[in-house]
Amino acid sequence: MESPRIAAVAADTSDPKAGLRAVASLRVLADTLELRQVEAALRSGMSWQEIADALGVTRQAAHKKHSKRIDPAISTPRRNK
Amino acid sequence: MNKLVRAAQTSQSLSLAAMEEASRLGLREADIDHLFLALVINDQSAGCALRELGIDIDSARLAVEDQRDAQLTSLGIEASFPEAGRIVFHETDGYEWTRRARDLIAKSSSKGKSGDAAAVLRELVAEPSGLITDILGRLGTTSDALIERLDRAVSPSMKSMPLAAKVKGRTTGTIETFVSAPLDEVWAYLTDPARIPDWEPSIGTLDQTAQEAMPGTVWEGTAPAIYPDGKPVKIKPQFRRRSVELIAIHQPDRIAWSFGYPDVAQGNSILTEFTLANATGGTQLRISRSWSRRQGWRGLVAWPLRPVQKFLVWITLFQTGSAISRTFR
Repeated sequence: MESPRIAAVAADTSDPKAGLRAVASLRVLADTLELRQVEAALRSGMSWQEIADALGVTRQAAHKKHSKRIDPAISTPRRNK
Repeated sequence: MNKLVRAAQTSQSLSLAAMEEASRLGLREADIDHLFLALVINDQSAGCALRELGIDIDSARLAVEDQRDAQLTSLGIEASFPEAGRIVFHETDGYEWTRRARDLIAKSSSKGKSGDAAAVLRELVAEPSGLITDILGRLGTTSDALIERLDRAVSPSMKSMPLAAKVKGRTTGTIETFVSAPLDEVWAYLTDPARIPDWEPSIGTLDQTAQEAMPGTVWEGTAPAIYPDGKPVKIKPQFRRRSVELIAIHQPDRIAWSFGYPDVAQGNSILTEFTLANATGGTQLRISRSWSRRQGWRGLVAWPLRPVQKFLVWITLFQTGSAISRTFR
């Protein structure tokens, strides 16, 4: 990370309450991006196993979290594809 | 209306609106900021109090986005949330509340609390993270000002408007909803036959939509072949063809449509009536749906099922009301 950004982070630990709430927003952003990337991965033909490997979780965990949430127009791959 | 029913209907309509707002942002979890947006377009006194403070759905969405972006900046992260799209809730699946939002709604109908939207709003402004306080600050108001306004606000109920006369032998249901658009725009939308498939879930397509809308005019159409999420609809052939008749049109505030099945001999047509009224920041809309009850033994068999019927009527009214509300967001 570049130094100015580190400085900004460091400066902001002066108000931990605001900082903690901001981290909660960051998680929301991460969730938004995760769903988008999973949808893009499925559209490009990746399997749940490959997606899970990339996310660093088990296939079951990835499937449980996302299988209902993704755009229903995407035809999802079967397990043994 | 008893507390249980009111709390259930309030939480249903707030859940739908909040999850629709979450869906535009590419999220599947609705949090308290989406609940706040849902309250801004709520038809009860809570929505009224917010709108009287000059808060509308656009300014509220902007305040929520600015708040989120500002929080990222405060962490030293140069990123912003992906741009919001259209509402895709009805085409997608897997939605849920965050834990804190769910707890907050449950609390609003606990002992000693009324369970209506005002009770939810009171819980929301008192939520401990301070997110809602900050959003209200961006909208130029405070929790105290809002509570004070809420204490004085009365539901923009349309009780003064005449209800359709109760006709013996007809099952009727009525709901009210708020639409965040001026009355003339809502009127133009509801009187346009081409837009009927948007708000009437049992109509898929409609022909001759260029015909002038006069009382007694009949349009022919078909039932929908696919659900909004793309799955095919299974339907018996005699229910495939639909007819739509304009029953009454009284500019600027009353219109009635009738929906029938031309291929069903003993077909029962359903009457849908809209009554519009000006409200702060938009239009208050009342929707009634009614049909004649079966005569003879069928009526007797159906009698014990009246509560179920009432619930089903409410579901269809709710679908129509939310589809109209969605169009103007």
